[in-house]
Amino acid sequence: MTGQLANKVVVLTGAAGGQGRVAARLLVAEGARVVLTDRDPDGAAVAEDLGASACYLAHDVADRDGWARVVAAANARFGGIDGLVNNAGIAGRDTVETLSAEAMTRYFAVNVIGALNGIQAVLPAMRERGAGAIVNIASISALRATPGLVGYGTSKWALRGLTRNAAAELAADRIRVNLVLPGAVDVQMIKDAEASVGKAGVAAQVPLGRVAAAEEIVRATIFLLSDAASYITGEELTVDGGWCA
Amino acid sequence: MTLAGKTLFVTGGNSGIGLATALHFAREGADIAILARRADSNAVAKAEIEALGVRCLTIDGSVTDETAVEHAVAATVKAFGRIDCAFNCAGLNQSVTPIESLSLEEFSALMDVNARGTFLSMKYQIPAMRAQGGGAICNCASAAGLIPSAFQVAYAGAKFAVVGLTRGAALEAAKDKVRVNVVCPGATTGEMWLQFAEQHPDRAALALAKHPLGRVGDKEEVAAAVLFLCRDATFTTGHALPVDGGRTTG
Repeated sequence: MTGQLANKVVVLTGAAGGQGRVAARLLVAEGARVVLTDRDPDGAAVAEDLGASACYLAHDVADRDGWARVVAAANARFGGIDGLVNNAGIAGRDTVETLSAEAMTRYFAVNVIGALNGIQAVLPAMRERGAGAIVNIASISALRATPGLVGYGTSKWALRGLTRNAAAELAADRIRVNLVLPGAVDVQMIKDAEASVGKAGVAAQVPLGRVAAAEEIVRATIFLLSDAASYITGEELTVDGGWCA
Repeated sequence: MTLAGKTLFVTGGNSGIGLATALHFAREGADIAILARRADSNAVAKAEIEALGVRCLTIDGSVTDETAVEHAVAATVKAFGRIDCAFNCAGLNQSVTPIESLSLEEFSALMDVNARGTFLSMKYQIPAMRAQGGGAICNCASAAGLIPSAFQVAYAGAKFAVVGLTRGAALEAAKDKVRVNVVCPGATTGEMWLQFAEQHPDRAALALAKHPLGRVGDKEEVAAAVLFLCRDATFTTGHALPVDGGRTTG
């Protein structure tokens, strides 16, 4: 098998979502074998479409115990783990004044602790391999204020902090940890925004004058997972059409 | 061969990271144009690149010379028809000197090659790319363009300038479908670091200890990042990409 991820085994969370489905397909197209996880049982169909290079587990990233099953499946099915994409996340609109502690805790449970759980779970397998690459998916909400998205945005800032610390700590194990920060992408969240301010309203805020295709975000993830990025760790790669330039 | 029929214009492309990147793009099928000083090195680089089966145009000149840059861009468009990608890599390193001892001549030379050279390159590349409907520019700064460097403040100041030039140019050129990004290498097996490590082994060891991955990066690893930014990163512009083994994670 050729491709940028030939012979690599990658765990991808949130694989049944809009961005996750595209990621699963392109990872396999680049030669990876993938363990797809999602709370949504539609993930099974995503894996089935990809054939022998993919398998699916019903899994909530916030559930620590579930991660042991994911790692066991990767080891049993594909013989190890080279990459992890912490793609699962939850989003929502909140204001500083009205965000409840319960809602904030939920954002952190999935978007931050879910990623931490994943990193901790795959460490032994990556150490066994002698190297690894982890990619966390954040948002440009981790670079700036995004009024109306305080819970989501703050959790993505925390994920950015987790990424940097994990990169610094795990470098000694040759495990690279990087962050992808998408801007406006052609997925459900942006469709919702377009419904309120109009499609042109969203695109007009992007210097390149359009929203991203999901594939363009995945290209960044693939690069950071691949050996082409072997000297890159702790990097925060924006894929935002220049929004945060 | 993902870049067959495409062209790369590279400044400082006859040695170090610039040449490694030229060869990396050439292996993907791109024709290469080099603007660099030292005609003898240009001739050697040209032979090495053409041996990969692509065309190579070399222009002897300095990126600090506006006429030379304008001519080089025009000559490349004339020879190859277009400039799809540009890598502005010509650079100059600073002696290890406290600020009060640094001469104005050295300060000016560092600003000239690193900042003015990047400015002049983009000044002529962006209109050429606009005329053809788009393109991708990658500048070369340094980890020292993102975090402070004692005793090399003019180099760092010039590299901070390269990052600033990149981000502003990206906003200006986005409407023309021209993306502008910048790579920020840490310790790398280019000429600059190798010379520094030879002259200042103690300083080099200290600097390397601040790279979490614990080794010097290979110039091929920078070349791979430039290829990603030019070819694959179709929705990334105005971005500074460290290729630094985690040096700038803090």
